[in-house]
Amino acid sequence: MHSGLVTTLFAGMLGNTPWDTLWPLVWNATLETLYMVVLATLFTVLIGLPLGVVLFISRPSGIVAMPRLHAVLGAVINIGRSLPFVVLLVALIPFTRLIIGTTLGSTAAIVPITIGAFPFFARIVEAALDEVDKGRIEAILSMGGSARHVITKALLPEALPALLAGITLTMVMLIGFSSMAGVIGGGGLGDLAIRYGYQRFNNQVMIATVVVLIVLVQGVQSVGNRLVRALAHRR
Amino acid sequence: MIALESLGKTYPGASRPALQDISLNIEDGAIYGILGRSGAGKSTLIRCLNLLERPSSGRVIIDSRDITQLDPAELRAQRRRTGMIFQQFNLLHARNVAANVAVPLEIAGVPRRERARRVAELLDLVGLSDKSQAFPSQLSGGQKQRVGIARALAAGPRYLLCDEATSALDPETTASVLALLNDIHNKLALTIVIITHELEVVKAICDSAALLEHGRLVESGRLSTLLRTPSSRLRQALLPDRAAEQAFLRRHGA
Repeated sequence: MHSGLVTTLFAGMLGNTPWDTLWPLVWNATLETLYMVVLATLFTVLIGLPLGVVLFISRPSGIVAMPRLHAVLGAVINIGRSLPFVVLLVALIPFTRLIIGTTLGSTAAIVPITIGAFPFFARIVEAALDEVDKGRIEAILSMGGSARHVITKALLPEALPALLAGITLTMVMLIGFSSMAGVIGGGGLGDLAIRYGYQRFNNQVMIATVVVLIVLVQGVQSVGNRLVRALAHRR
Repeated sequence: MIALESLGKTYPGASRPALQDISLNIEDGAIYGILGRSGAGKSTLIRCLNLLERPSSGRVIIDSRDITQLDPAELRAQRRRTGMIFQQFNLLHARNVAANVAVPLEIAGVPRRERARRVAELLDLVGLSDKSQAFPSQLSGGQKQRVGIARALAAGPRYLLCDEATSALDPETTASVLALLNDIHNKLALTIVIITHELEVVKAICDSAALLEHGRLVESGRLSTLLRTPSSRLRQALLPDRAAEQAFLRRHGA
C-alpha cells in the first residue's frame, strides 16, 4: 500500500537522467572503487601483516624481545593513526606525486589509502596474534622451534580466523577511504557522488552511489564472515 | 643425566625467589616426580630444564653440558632432544591430529614421506590411529594429552618433561595417561620428569621424587631409599599407614 507513495516520492527526488547515461557512470565509478579497494587492501596486508608480526614478537615479553624497536614502531604507527584520513590525503600529495608521477586518478589514490590503512591493520594483526594461546607458542619453542617456526606454525595459522576478520574490517574501512579519496580527484563512487550529487544536485546519481556502496560493504562483510566461519568451524 | 646445581630463579619485581638453591640429580632412565603445592616453584623448575625459563643463578647440566651456556642454535638442538607435555595440552587447533604430531619432525627437517611413516607409528603407540584426521577440538582431554605425548616423542627425545600433564584430567583418564607414560618408558629408553601436585601420580609411576616447598628443595632421591627413611616427608605423605607401607614394600621387592 505504501509502494505507490514511495514511487511518487522517489520520482520527485530523482531527476530525469536517462538510465543509459546513469548506468555507465555508476558502473565505471564502481569499477574504479573496486580497483582502489582491492589493490589498497592487498598493499595494506603486504605492509601491515609483517609489521604487525614484528610489533608482536618485538614486545618486551615477546619471542624476539626488542623493546626499543617495539617502542619506535609503536610510536610511528600511532602517529599514522592519529591523522584524520582527509588530512593525510592532502598531506601526502607530494609523496604520491613522487612515486606515481601524478596525484589524479584511482591509481594515485591507492597510495594515501594504503598509508592511511596499514598502521590500523598492523594493530589489528598485533591484537590477533596476542589472542593466540601462549602455551602454543611455548610448545613450538619446547620442540626446538625458531622464531620463524613460531610465526609460521603457531602464530599465523592459529590467528587466521581473527586475521581474516581483520582484513574484512579493513576492506570495509577502505571502501570509506576510497570514497574520501574522490575529494582529491581519486575517482570512484566518492568522486561521482561529489561531482553529481553535491555539485550538480543530481539525486539520482547520489542515491545510486549510496546503494552501490551499501551493497559493496554488505558483500565484503558477508564473504568475510563466511570465510571466518568456514575456518573456525572445525577448530 | 640431568643435574641441577644450586639453581635459583627470581622473577623481576618479585619479593622472594621462585626457586632457591636447588641441587638434584635425575638419573638416566628414571621416572622422576617433583611434588609440590601450587606456588612451590615446580613449573618454574621444569621450565628451567629446557630453558623456557632462564634461571637467575646456578647451572642446568644435561648430558655433561651446561645448557645455560649454549648459543641459540645449540639450545634449539638440545630442545629437540627434550620433549615436553603440558597441563593444557597446547595443541595447534588449526591442525589435525596427524599434523600436530608432525610439527617437531617438520622443525627437525624430516622429509615428508618419513614424517608420515613416523606419525602413523606414534599414533599407533598412543592408541589414536583412528583419530589422525580429527581436530583437537573434537577430542576429549585424555585424547588430547595422548596427542601431546605422541608429539613430544616425535623427534625421538631422550627426556620427556611433563608439566602437570594429568592435572586437567579426571582420575580414570589420569590413570590411563600414566599407564601410557609407563608403557612408553618401558618401550623407549626415556627419562621422564613429572611435576605434579598429585601424590597419586608419584605413587603410581615414579621411582624417584623430590619435594619442593616455597621454592626450596625439601628432599630428593630414589623412592626406595626415601621410603625407608622414617624422617622423610615424602614417606609420611606416601605411606600414611601400615597397609600402604606393606604394599610399597611388596612392589619394591623388600
